[in-house]
Amino acid sequence: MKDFAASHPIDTRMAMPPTPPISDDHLIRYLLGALPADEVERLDERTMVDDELAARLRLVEDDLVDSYAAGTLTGEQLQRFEAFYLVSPGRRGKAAFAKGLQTAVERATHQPRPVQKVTTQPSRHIWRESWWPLATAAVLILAVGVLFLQNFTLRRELHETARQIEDASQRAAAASQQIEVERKAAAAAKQALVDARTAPALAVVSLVLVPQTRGVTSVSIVAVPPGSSAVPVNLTLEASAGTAYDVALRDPASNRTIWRSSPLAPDRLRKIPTVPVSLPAGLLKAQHYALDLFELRSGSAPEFVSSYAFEVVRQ
Amino acid sequence: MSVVTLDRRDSGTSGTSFTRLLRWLDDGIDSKGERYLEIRRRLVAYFDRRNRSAPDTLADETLDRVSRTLEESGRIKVTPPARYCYVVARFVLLEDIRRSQREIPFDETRPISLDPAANRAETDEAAERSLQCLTRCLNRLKPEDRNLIVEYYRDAKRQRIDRRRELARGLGITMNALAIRTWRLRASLEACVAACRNRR
Repeated sequence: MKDFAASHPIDTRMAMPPTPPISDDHLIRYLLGALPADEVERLDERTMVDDELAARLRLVEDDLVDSYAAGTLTGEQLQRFEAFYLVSPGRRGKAAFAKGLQTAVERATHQPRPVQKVTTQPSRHIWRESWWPLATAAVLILAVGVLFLQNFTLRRELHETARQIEDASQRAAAASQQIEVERKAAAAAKQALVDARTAPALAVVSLVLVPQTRGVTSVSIVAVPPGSSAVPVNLTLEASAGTAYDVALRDPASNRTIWRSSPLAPDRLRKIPTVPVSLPAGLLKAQHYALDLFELRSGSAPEFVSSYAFEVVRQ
Repeated sequence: MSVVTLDRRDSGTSGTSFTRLLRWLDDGIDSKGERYLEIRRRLVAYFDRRNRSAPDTLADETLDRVSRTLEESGRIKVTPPARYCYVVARFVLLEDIRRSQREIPFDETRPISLDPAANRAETDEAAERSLQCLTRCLNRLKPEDRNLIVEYYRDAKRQRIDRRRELARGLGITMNALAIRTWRLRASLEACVAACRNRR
């Protein structure tokens, strides 16, 4: 039992009548909410009225919180501490303070220093003088610790920011490249269409395509001269001609329609009726293509008529 | 004895009645306000142990009621004064419990963040802030007090006990007196850290 009465700075005018001594363990149980309600009330009153007990309770509480901060609390005490004691924001603050104090003390005493030997009871003046160098050292160590911590935090933040900037730059560059590719493709397609529309009409030089049949037939070859903007083609019709058609240029490799004509009128003057169509030369690469012919009828969807295969050769 | 600054601006107690309260708590010996602070500390701890959300407010409410009673009746027969404070505090506690059963505190209506990473970051940030405040507050202590704190709390177990014994012997005081002295320093540091954190 600690002798508080001998040295307690608070006067003991409020001394209680003699009561059974209360152990530290009992006070810990009181702090951890492990006592029955009537005992809690009794201690509530005593710790309010009894100066000695109030002081002891505070020391026991600090020791308890320090043990938690140091990680030395175990078993039921640890469970109760976390489940009961840490419920209150004020007590959580005490625990956080204890942890901080521990860290500050560890930093201040990081470098081993010889323990000062005191063989006699020196006067307060002498004691104060002998501790001055240690005090200065502690201040310096604390200051260096804070600076080091701040430096470390700033470096970490700087590094993180630099990494984020680099990531963002890479993403921006990739997006920029993608946009450029798409812009070029769109410009090429647009130019091809413009060229096709504005190109002077070339004479149709009997480039006649016949519908594909199931039998193995040779594929027509379309030679595209350099500088051509349009490739005129006549698609022969197997049956009697309708009134209007349109044509879709399809890439067989991807089965994707890459161009579609405006409505076309059949040429009925020929012996075998044909549908003339002018293909944009800029879209045509050296590969196989298919032209799908649809008959347009009012009030109904376009009706597939036939497909014409051909191979482009760039000259 | 150091001069104690008492701030009762937020209280409903007037200057005269506050002086009367201080005198009554001192019970005949002028403590320069220390006794008031001590009783208030005990009241805050009492309400906090009962898990009340605003222990400081309840402690002030208790002391205000005591002060009003003193004002109205001129004297309070119950002795010691701390016992009467406790009696009033019990009523204040019961009223607060009843009030909290009727109301949902604003804090409890706020959604709790379930993101552990965010919580951890928040906690780390708060701990870092506290540590910076603590360092600042330690630096404000007198060098001998700062050393006393550092030496008192360093090491663990046996080494710590030996060190404390040596410290007490060096200062020419008992272990208990040393414990109380460091507790006072620790309490002032805690108050300084709390004020520092509130300012930031």
